[in-house]
Amino acid sequence: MIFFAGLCAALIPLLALLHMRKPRYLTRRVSAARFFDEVTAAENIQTQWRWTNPLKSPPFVMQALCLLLISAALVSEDKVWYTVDEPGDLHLWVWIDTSSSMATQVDGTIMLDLARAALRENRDALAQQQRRPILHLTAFDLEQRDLGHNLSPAQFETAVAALKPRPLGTDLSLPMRSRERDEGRLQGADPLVLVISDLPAPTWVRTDPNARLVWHDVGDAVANHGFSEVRAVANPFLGGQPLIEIAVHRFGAPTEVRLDLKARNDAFHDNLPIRFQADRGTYLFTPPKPGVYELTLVPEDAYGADNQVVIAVQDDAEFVVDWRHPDRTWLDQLGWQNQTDHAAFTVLAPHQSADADRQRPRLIIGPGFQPGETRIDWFREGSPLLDQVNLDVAETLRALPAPDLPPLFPVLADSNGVPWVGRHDAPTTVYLAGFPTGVGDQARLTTLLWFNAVQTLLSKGNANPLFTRTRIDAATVETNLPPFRLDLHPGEGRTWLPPQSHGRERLTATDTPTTIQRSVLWWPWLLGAALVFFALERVLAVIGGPAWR
Amino acid sequence: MRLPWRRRAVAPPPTATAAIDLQPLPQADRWLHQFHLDARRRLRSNAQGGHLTRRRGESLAFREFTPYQPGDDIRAVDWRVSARFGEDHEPLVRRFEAEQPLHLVVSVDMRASMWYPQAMPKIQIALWLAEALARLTCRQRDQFVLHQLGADTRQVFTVRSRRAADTLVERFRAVTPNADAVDQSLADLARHLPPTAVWLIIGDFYQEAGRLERTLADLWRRGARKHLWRMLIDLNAWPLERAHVGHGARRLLGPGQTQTQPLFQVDAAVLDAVEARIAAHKQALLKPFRLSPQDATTWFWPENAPQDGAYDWFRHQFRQDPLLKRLFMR
Repeated sequence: MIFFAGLCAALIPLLALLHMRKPRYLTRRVSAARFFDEVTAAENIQTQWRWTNPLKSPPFVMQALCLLLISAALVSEDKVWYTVDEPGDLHLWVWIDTSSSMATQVDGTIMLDLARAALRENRDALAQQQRRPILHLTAFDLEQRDLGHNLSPAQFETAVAALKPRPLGTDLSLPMRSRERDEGRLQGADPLVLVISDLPAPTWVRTDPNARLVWHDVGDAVANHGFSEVRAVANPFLGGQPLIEIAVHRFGAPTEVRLDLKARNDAFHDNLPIRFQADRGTYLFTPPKPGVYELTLVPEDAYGADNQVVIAVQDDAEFVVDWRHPDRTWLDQLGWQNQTDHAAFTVLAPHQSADADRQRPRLIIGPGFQPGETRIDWFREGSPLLDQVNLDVAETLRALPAPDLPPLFPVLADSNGVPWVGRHDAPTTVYLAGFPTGVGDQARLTTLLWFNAVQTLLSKGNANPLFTRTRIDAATVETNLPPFRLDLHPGEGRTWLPPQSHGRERLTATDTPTTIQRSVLWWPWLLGAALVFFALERVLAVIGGPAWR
Repeated sequence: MRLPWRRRAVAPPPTATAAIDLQPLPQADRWLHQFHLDARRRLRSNAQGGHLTRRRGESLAFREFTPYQPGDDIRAVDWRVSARFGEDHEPLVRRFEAEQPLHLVVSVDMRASMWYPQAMPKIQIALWLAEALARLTCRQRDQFVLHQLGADTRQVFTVRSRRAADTLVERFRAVTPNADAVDQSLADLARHLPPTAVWLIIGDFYQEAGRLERTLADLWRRGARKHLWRMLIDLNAWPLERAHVGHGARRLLGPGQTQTQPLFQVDAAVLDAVEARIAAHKQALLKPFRLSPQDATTWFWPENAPQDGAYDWFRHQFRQDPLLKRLFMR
């Protein structure tokens, strides 16, 4: 820039020189001009340089000023002329819960309407801060849906008004994960995240007291009863008649709840009261025949999504697996039937996980165990995968690391971070470091781990499920045709929890300056002045013609 | 967009007519009242007008006695005078002058050189001269005819009233010089030149000798054979232009010339040579007219344009011009 500024300044003396160029001759208009045609022409007298003060020439002054101003603009590229205080921006990133429980009836309205009212209340609080809110809106349930960034108030209102509850559960960790992932995404600003949900603030909200996050729990204690779980508890591994365990919860004032059991083909109908102990009731139901059964809790209550279940009881209890692991020793020893269709789960190696059916439970078997001492550094207490496991014996073996292992939650891992046992949901996946091996306690340990894993995969009802739950990619309820897809997500019916918000005082806090200083640079003004002088000189030149010089 | 240090490309000079703001003869013209046209010429009979001719007619002005001829009105015989000549002499008949209107025809060269010099255009002086003569003519109920030589519009106009005389300036302003319209111009003019006409040509005679000049000279000579009263006023602005050109390096632009004209180093010798060339050109141009000294006069421009305008200079010239003196009866 300095070079170009110097170049512009150097043009000024050149301009002055050009202004000193004058014609050497005079022009005369006479009627007798044609009688000069026999006079010898003298063409060597066209122009001459004549010393004149260029400052007396207004065009020169304007042109020189123009160049000077351009030079100054180039030099003062970063120079600040003055600063002005302007209202600071407040990036408010609103997360609204649209899970199934937001449809819970409260005093004639639904929970999502309470969320909208809370949003208006929070915006009023922000309006008193004399900061310019820049709004971002995200809806969340099991997935995060960004509905727009940098929204105007009208756009924001329209987007909020269009929100509806969806028959999905709630992933309360989504705001946290998104915040970690999206740091600095919003124009480099650190937005204030406002989460509006009917669920209490999770514990992770409190882990970082400096986090600019507000959790507004708009929920209220609402009485509710509903199905907690409906699953097949008979072990298909052993064969026999199916057995259905029905778990029901009740929140709020004790009420009489009855279970209505009905086969869809009207071949069976039963109605019985639920006996609650500590607001939980369990009933074992043996379907007389395979088929479709409708389970309904009466009476209706505020949250209706957990009051009805439709299940499909399979007529074939034969146990088959989809064995894809290259080591087929245990398949032969157990005598399991290997079949892709109607398999209870898939057995595979870590590197095969990408090819397997994404809806079917998996048992991933690692590279195996080796004798040797190790130290167990992590285990998940109470996990059924570690049921009856002696960890002292485990420290006499060493699990080999699996290089192609997909992401898992470790259940048992050594000090080097090598997992022995891990699990994952969607689909239900269990990882074992290896097939049963060794002798004595080591053989008993690894065999126990094997059957714990198999039992976990089977006992969760993952094998031939009675129904499925709505998912992100299938967010609609299906009760007409199997496989049935129900809006029965754990925790959605827990409506009796008292409201527990977090950090609402941040909405009115003044921890960020209400004004920001905006610097006004010199160069645009200098350039603008140069343009004005240039335009003025051109206009006067057009009006005045050569005489203007 | 042109660069700031470049001179604007010079456009062709504006048309001469557009550059000059012609001024009419002032209405306060009491000084004109001292002039009266005295155009005694041989005119045809059986016409009436403000001027007497030597043609015998029926006016009250006695002209001569002539011998009686068969057909003469017997009442015109002057018996007293006839008796003085004796009985053997034919009776003498009293003859009177005939009355015919005067046709004052003024041809003004409208071509481009007449619109120079800008300080004192020749066309302005020609306009004033034409207007003055028109007013005098119309005041005496004679006929004034304006002929615009080298104009692209209608070239011949008859003026019969003072009001029409005052519109001559508009006819001058409306002119666009066009040397190609010559033939029709002179054909029209010939119809307005009866033997009783007085024909005055006003011009600068700077043009090349072309068909116009040849035709004009031919018409001039034919007028001589009809004993037409012809006058020619040469408007010579060279003294003013010579002073305007001065000495030094000059680019001289004439009618229709642009900045591409060559440059000259002008001094007194060059100006003398040009002056001699102009004189030679005029002499050659007017030679076919066979002018006698009493037919032509030259109005030389002053070296400096009068500060108070050219009107006083024009009035002075009008009063002093010998041709006009012969035309006027004071």
